[in-house]
Amino acid sequence: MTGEAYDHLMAVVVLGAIFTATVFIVPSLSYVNLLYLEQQQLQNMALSVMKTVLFDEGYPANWGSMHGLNQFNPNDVKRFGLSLLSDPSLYVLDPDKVQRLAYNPMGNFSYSQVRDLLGLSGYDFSLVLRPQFNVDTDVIIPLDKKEISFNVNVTRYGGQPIPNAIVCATIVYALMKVSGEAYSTGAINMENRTNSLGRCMGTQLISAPPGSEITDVAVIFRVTVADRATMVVCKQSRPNPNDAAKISMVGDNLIAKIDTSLPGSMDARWICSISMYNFETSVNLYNRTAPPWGEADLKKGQNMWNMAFPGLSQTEPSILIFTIRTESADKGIGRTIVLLIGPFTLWTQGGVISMSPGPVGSGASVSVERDVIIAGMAYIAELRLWKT
Amino acid sequence: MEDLMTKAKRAKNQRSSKGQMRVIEAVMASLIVVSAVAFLYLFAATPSSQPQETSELEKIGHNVLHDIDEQRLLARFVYRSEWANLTSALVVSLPTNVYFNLTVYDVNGNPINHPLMQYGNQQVFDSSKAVASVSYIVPGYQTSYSPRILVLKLVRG
Repeated sequence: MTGEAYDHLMAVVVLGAIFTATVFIVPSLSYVNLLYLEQQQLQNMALSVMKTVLFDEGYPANWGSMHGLNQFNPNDVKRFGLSLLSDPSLYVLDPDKVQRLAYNPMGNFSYSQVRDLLGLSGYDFSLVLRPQFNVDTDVIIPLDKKEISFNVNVTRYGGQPIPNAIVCATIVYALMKVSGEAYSTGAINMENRTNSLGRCMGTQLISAPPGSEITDVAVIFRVTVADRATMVVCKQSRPNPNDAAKISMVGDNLIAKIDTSLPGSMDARWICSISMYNFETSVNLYNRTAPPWGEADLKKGQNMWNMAFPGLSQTEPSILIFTIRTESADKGIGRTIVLLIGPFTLWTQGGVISMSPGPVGSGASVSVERDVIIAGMAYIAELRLWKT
Repeated sequence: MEDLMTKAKRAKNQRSSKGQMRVIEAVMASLIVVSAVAFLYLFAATPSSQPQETSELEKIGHNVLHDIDEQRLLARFVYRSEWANLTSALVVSLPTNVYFNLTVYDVNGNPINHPLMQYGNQQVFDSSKAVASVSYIVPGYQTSYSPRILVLKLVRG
């Protein structure tokens, strides 16, 4: 009787073990199929999200610029989409909306707000807007700012060099008369092509007229491949140029905003000139080149300046060059003229705008890439989606 | 009496070995079921990702040609025979692991581009199971109407 009970017990144990093993073995046998199905679901989801992001204007349709000169309030956006309202073509994105995806002094979306608007509960995503190729620059600006040299390396994101790319370097400099505080700006253009290794270099002398000194230098690069892909990067002599003010463009308005947490942010500032630069042409929007300076545009304690330029958004300016009269970064020198290159959001991150919650999860993830056009320039929009 | 005891012991032993046999039977049956399932999985056709892969490549190809056209460069490249520029534009615009082969035809189906516009070895195209093909029509350049048909073949490397 005991032996029989023992046998049955053994049978239960053995069958239980077999059942448990089966539960683990059979799904692993079909793991490839399950993974495929999961990836397919993710792929369909990613395509649907990408369609919304690129083809939908969102609601309100002008949500990127609807707050005008006021701080952007993400809660007023009811539906998310980056498409340009006035352009019927596909894949053309609104720069005002794109600039709300990364840090913007006039307000921006957080990752979780965008995720909620896209209805992606249970999923995480990363959205990256980047130029079509990678440009590494090494710019040497000596202390006297008189001989500027640079090395440029143009590659695809896989690392393959891009030969024969046209590298156009524009050296913008601000000069100030030692006596009298009058100032002027100048620009020198240089053009070169990358060699078979995707590299090129250049050196340029800047000569300051007698009685003047160079106060600031900025080097702006435009790299073009087959007349199409263009990327602009900027290097400057001043270590933190955006400390003087951060430039934003909202619709036809230009805004200079000061971070009040920075030391010296309460000092007065004068906007001396603003020009819009498209490499072929430079258009002066605002000019005040000599004393008397009059009242400061940003008075002591004031942290924002703005001015409307009707039709500005239609011209899609690649670069905005501001010259600002402000306190020198070196103590005891007094006021100086500095250059500011804008709009801020695009410049701070080397032309790359990225939105993600952190590293991609270890499970299945899918990625969808599309070519897009922002302010007349070609970018790649990459969406990666995974389950939380 | 002894006989009865011996008989009872024998019967008990028989029942015991019957129980063991049942365990062995159950184990064998389970193994048969598991091995049958495993065997079936070996032969089960895994769903092919080719249609989706091809569809995605087609979307990428159309998107890239559309954007080059949107920037008013495609017609210039085609009608001025700027094949090197067109190849470069496609190389930088397509994802790094996508290879292409582009042929331009006139309305009668005659190929126009004499130099081969290709990125990637021919072997990649021959060995790939998922080749996407995108047709894109350029109606003309500036004021002239003379349609050209672009056939872009894409594979992933």
